[in-house]
Amino acid sequence: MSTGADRPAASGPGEDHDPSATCAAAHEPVVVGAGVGARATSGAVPSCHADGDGPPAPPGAPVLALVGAPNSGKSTLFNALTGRHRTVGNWPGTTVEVGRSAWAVDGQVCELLDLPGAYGLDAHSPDEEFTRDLLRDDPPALTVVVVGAAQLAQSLYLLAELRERRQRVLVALTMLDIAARRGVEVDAQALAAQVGVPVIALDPRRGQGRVELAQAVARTLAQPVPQARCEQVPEDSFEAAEERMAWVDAACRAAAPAADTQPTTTVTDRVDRWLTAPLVGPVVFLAVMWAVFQLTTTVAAPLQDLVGAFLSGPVTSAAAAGVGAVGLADSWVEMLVVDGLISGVGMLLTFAPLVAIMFALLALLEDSGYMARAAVVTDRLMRAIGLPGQAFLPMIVGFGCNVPAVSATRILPDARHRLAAAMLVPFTSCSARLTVYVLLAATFFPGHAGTAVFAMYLASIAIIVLVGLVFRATLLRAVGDEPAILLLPPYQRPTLRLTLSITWLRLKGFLATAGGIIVVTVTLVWLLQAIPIQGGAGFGHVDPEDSLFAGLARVIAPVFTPLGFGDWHTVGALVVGFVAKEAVLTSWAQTYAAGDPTAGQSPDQLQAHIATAFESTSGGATTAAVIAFMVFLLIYTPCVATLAAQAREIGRRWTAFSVAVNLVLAWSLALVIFQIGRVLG
Amino acid sequence: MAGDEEKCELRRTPKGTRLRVGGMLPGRSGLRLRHLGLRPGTLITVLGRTSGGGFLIGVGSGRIVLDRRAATGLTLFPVSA
Repeated sequence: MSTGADRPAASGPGEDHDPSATCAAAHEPVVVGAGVGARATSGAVPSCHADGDGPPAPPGAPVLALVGAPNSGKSTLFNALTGRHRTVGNWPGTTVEVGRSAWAVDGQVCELLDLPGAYGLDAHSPDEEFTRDLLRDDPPALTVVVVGAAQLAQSLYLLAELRERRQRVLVALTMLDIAARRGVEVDAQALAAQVGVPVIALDPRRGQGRVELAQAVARTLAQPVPQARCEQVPEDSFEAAEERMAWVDAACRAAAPAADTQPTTTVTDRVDRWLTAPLVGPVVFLAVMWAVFQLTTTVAAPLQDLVGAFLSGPVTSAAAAGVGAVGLADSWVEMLVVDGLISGVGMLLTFAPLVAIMFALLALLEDSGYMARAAVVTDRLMRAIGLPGQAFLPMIVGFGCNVPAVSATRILPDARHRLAAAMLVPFTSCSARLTVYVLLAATFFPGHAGTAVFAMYLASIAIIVLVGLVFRATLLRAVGDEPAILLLPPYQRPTLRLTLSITWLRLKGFLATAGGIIVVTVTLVWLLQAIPIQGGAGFGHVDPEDSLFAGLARVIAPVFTPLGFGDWHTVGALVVGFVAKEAVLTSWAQTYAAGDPTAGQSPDQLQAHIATAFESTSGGATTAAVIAFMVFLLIYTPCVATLAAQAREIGRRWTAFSVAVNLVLAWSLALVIFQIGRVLG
Repeated sequence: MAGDEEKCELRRTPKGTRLRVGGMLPGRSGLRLRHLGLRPGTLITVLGRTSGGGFLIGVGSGRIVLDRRAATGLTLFPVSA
């Protein structure tokens, strides 16, 4: 029996390897195992992506594993059982890393693992390979197979394979309500009798059935290990597959005899017919995404003003009074707190409502099942750049945060596809970049901010296609193209609890960045601003123009002069933005607040300074310079957390190559945009 | 016998038609289709065409999207009434 003490850790981060070297056979998908099972946010680099592992189980605790087909509800069940907040989503491949947490079963603490989804033990991709290796080589004390009733035939193949060995297995039967809506009633008792293991019907989305599952787990652990369902497995893989399919068919017929005689089409089939249709599907997708950004910017604006007023009023006054009370008024401490932390971090916090609204809307789309339809719609686009359709799923994740998106490339079976996708992910415009776009769009395109931001997302997709086409002609030239087969998840009515939970999980990541790496960055920028290099003023009392920060930014500024944004405040912000894209915003707020304290108190005041800077550096072609800047910001480099994730997935050399490509492309495109814009005037 | 029956092509089959799978794609794609519940003898329902030239089909209560290559790799026969 495997226990938490003897289980080796999942493969760790930091491996430097060359995925291209492992895929010499063009038509045989090759799997590289870098970091599979490792935590996406492991390592010292903070990320704006938060995921929820739980407290560890004590050494020697029995290990229980949740396994099942992709999108059968394993992570939702894991969260329901342990109170954790792992990322969940209604599409296949949401979980590419193992989650673990202690779980008390009938007074006994066990270690519960949430494994990446797999239809069977024939691994097609690194996430499936990890699940296979763990189940075959180091079987847990008990395996809980999560079976979606709405996809019964697709969920039972893995159970058929697991039952070929002597091991403790039980079935958690989910999605009974969705199956019923499709006219399929699944009988849990009949299924249990046919497959020879306990079957517990539950609804993890609504927290129902947890107690019954815990009781069943305790009973199963107390019983002897059951016999395998067959004595010998055919050696030929297709013969073995046929035998398992016959077993699955028998189980389906016993549990859901009406499934094959159900009405041919349902309401959701008619909806799907339109949402995935050749012309209507892409139009609906674009309309949905435009609505998301329009709604986000419109609803967030008054909330941003409220937060800004609160920070610049009561919070600033209280901080100044507090510093004064300990005798440090007008000292560098007050400057650090008020001009540095409150101006910088506070400015970022005014964008928390905006980010929360976008996260909530995306969570609604994900939970409903629409995003899997979007992947079908974009299949042709992905194939045009030599990637399989499912490569769009990491890209969608990237629009929230690039870090988990890089990890999500593990759902792709081919090593070269993963390499290309991991280098394309940084072009997806994450929520951190959204904050800067919104500030600039509100400044320069008032009244059309939502459309301007949406245009940046279209630009993001256009750049992915552009670079993807180059990859197709080079990196992916010899890579074979397997037929695309995608199981559509059933539609679900999003629940308020789950939507709020996902939104809070992601917002927490945003706030953790603001409270962690951004505080460090703000402090460093403040320090560089406090050191004089000319003018004779003392530490902390230097004119911003005479500070070390301004001096360093001016050294680099000429590189950006041909792009229309060579002002030292802007260039300094871009350099700081290497750490995290939110830092562009905080750096602007800090550097302008040092000369004009009102600039750090609300986005309105800051906007005026930024507008003046762009007008002066662009020679009158302000709009062209702003667009060039936004495109540069989109492309030039992802945050350090994403670079760390890339290094883990594709190695340091490819990561360095990716950064170099991004920098050259960003500078070149921004140059072309500004120079053409200037000429067209 | 299957060999005597007239084969059906998904692109020429009206929506809502029920078909029986006769032959499968070889290799890993065939194995993947088996994981998803498709094998010789399985009944499928044609539900529509998708963006990019693929097809949406129903297999039991599951819904599967096949791209053009996966679809042409299936040998399909009409289900006699």
